[in-house]
Amino acid sequence: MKTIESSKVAVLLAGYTAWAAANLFRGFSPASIPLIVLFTLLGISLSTSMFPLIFACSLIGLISPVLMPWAVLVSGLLACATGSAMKIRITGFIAVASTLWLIPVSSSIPLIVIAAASALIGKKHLRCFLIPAGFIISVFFTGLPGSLITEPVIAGSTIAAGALSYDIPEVNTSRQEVLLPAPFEGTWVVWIAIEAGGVRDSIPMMAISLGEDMLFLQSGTDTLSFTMIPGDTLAITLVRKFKPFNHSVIHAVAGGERL
Amino acid sequence: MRNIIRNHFHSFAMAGFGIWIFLVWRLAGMPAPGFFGRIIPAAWLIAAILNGQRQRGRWFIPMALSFTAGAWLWMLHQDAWIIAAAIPVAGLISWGISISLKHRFRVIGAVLPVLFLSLITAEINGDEVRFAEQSSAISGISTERFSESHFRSGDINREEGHHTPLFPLLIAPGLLAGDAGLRIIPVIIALLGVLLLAKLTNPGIAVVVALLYPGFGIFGLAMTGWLAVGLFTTGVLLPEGRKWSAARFLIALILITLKMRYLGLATGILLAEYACMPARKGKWITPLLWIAGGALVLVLDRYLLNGMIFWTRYGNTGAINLMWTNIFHRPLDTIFHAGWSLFDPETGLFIRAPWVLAALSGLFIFRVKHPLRFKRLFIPSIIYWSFLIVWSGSSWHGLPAPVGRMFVPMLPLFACGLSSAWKERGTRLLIILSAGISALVIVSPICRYNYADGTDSIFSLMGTVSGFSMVRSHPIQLAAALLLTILILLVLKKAERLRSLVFVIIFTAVFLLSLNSAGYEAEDMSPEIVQGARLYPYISDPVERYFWFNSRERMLELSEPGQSILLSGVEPGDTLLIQMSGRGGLLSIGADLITVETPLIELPSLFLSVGRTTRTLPDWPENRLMEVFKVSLDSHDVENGTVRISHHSGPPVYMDRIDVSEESVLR
Repeated sequence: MKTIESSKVAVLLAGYTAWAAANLFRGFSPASIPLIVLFTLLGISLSTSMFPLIFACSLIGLISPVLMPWAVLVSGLLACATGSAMKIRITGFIAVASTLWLIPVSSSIPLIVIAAASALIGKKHLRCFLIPAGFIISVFFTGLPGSLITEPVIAGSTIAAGALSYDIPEVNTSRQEVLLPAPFEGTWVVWIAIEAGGVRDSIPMMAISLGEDMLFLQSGTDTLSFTMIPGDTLAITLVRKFKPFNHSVIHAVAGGERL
Repeated sequence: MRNIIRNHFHSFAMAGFGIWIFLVWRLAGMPAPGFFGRIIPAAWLIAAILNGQRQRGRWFIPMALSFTAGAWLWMLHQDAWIIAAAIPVAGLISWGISISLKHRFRVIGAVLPVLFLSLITAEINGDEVRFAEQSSAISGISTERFSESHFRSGDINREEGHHTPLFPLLIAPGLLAGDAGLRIIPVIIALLGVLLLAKLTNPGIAVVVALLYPGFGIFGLAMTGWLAVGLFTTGVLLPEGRKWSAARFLIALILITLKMRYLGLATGILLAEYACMPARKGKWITPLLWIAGGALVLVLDRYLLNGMIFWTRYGNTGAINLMWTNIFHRPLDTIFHAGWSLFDPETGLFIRAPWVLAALSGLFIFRVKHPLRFKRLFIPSIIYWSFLIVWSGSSWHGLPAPVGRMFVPMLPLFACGLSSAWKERGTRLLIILSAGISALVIVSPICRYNYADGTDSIFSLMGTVSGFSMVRSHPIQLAAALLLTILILLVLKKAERLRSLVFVIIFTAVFLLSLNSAGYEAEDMSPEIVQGARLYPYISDPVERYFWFNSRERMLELSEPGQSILLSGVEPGDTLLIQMSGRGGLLSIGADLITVETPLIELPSLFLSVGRTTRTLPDWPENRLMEVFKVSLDSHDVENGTVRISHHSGPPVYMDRIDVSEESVLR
C-alpha cells in the first residue's frame, strides 16, 4: 500500500515537472494549465485499468500542444465515466471544465453536463449507459463539440518552370476553409477542379470566393478558372455545419500558369 | 439460447462494439466512413467470431468509452479523428495479446484481425513491386501489373533485379491469383514465423512481436524479413548435437542466398554453433568444413549457374572497400550511425518500438536462465546489427521502405528478452505505448514511411517536429538519449524498488524529443511561410541524398519569380541568419539585395586523382558549401512585422535554415 502511494507521488511529481519544463522551454501558455489537471489525474489513477489510456493521453498532450485539449477532454471524460473512486471522477470533471474554461469549444454544455453527472453518480453501470446515451442525445440536439474559431488553412504551392500547382488538404467539418493565395508577383490564370460529397441533399455545400466574387456550389464535380493577381486569395469554404450521418467533404486540385 | 448467450457474452459484446463503431462513425460524421468506418468495425466482427467463449479483459470498457469520447470530440482538431479511430485498433491489438496469453494455440486467430487491417491499409511498396516483377519474369506467371519489368537503380538489368531469385521464386505461386495474390505467400511465411516464435517463447510474446514495431512494419508484406525470422528461429529451435550442425549451416546458406544483408546473421549463426559445441578432439575442423562448403557453393554458382545467384550480385569488391572505409577511415561516423539506429525519431528502434527496452532488460535474466539459447540468439543478432551498420553506413535504415524493417531479423532475441521481463508493470506500459504506435500507423498509413529528412510522419501528425534527428542534430546529443536509455534499463531491471522512476524517464525522453530549437528548417516551413518554392531534390526518396558530402537535408530552392518566403514576427533591428548556398543568384530580402555565392566543396586530395583520371566535383546544388549569411533588418525591410525573401535574378539559391536573432552583437 505504501509503495503504491509513493508511486502515485512520483508519477504526480514527474508530470508536474514535465509541465514546468514544457512551459519553461516553450514559453508559458495559459492553455497548458489543464495539463496540470491531467497529470494529477494520471497520478491518482495509477493502479486502475484506465491508467494506460490516461498515460497515452498525457504523452500526446506533452508532445503536441495542438492536440492537448483533445487529450485532456478524452482523459477527463474517461475518468468521469469509469473512475471507481469519487476523487478520480471529480478530478476528471475538473480536467473537462478547466479545458472548456480556457479553450472554449462549441457545444461545450453537453460535455460539462455529462462530466458533472458522471462524476456525481456512484453506480458504474449507470455511468456506462449515461455516457453513450448522453452522447447520442447531445449529437441530435446540439451537434458535436468543435473549435469555436476554425482557423482557415493555407494551401501549399509550388512554382516550377512557370507552372503553379497547389497542394490542397481535404476540407471537412474540422477544417472548414482553405485559402489559395496568389503568388506575390505576376498575373496568373488559375484553374481548380473540385469534387464534393458526403451529403444527402442538393442544397449548396461550398462557397468559392475570390475578392468580392462568391460562387455557391452543390455536391458533385466542378472545374472553375480565375485570373489572380498579387494580393488575391481564392477561398474554398464548406458552408455546411455538422449533421448526423453526413460526412461533408471537399477534395480539390488546383494549378495555374503565368500570363 | 440462454446458455449460448451466457457462454458467448463477451463475443457478443465485441460484435456489439463493432456495430457501435460503425454507427458512431456515421453519427459523428467522421471522415473516411466508406473505408476506415467499415474496415475497423469489420475487424472487430472478425475478432468477435474468433473470440469464442473467452473473456474480453478489463481494458474493454475504458477503450470503448475512449473511442466514444474521441469520436464525439473529433472536430476539435483536424487530425483528432485519426487518434479516435486508432483507439479501437489499439483495442484489437490488446485483444490479440490477451487471448493468446490465456489460450495457447490461438496465435493465428489473435493476429488475424490486425493483420487484415494492416494488409488492407499498407500500399504495395517499391520493393514489393520489384519482387513481384522478378517473380513474374522467373516463373513466367503473368499478371496485369507485374508482368513488365522496369529497371531500377542498382539492378543488374531490366529482367534481373538486385534481389536474388530465391524470394521471388517463393512468392511466385501467389501470383497465380493475379496482382492481389502478391502477398499470399508472404502472409503464410509471416504466420509461420509467428508460430515458430510462439514455440521459442510463448504465444502471447509471439503476438506482441508480430503486432508491434519493428515486426509489424512488414508483417505480411512481400519482403524478406519474416522469412529470415523464421529461418533464424528454426536454427535456434533445432536440438543441440553434432548432426544438427549441417542443418544450421544450410540455414546460414539460405539466409545469404535470400539477401546479402543477412550475411551477418548467417555468420553469427555459425559462430554461435561453434561457441555452443562441447570441447572435443577435432572441433577446429568444423569451421574449415564450413568454409570449404561455402567455397564449393560459390564455385558451383560461378561455373554451373553462370554466377546467377551470388557472383552477379555480390561479386563487387567495392563493398569490401566501403566496409574498410567505414571501420578504419570514419570509425566515429560509424559509431554515430549505430547510435542513431537506436534513437532517431524517424526510424530508430527504441522510438518506434519502446517495448524493446523492456526486452533488453529481460535479456539479463534470460542469459542466466538459458545461457546456451542466449548465445544462439545474441551472437547472430549483434553481428547482424554490426554488419548492417558497417556495410551500409549512413544508409543503414533502408528508407523509404517501411520503417523498422532492418531490425526484423533480431526479433527472436527481443522476444526471448521480453518473455523474461513480461511480468513487470513497466513492460506492460511500454507495450501499450508500442501498440498505440502500430494502431496509429494502421489508421494513418502514411506513417508507415519516412524519408530521412528529419521530419517524422508520426510527429508531423501530432503537429510537432522533433529537433533531435540523425540528419539535423549534432551526434553528441546522442549522449542524452543513451543516458536516458541506460536509466530506463536500470529501472526496469530493479523494477520492484524503482518502478515509478520509469514515468519520470519516459516524460523526460518524450519532452526532449518534442523540443525543437527556434528557427525555420526548410522541410518544416508551413505554407503560411513558403509560397511557390520547392524542396530540392524534387523527390523525397532519401536515396537521392545518400552520397551528398554536406548535410543530407533537403533544401528550399528559390529560382523563379513568384516564389517567396514570408517571415512574420520580425522587427527592425533583428538579424536574420540564413544558411544557404548558390552560384551567385541575387536574393531580395525586404528592400535589400544580396548575392549568394558559396564555393564548391573541396575534395580530399586522396580523391582528386585516381591513376590518370582527374576527378572534379560536378557543380550541383548539394556540392556547394552552405554558409550562414547575416542580414540586419531595418525599417525599410519590415512591413507589418513581416519580411519577404524572394529570388531576384540569376542562378537559383538554396536554403537550409533561417534563424531570427535579436542580439545586437551580431550586427
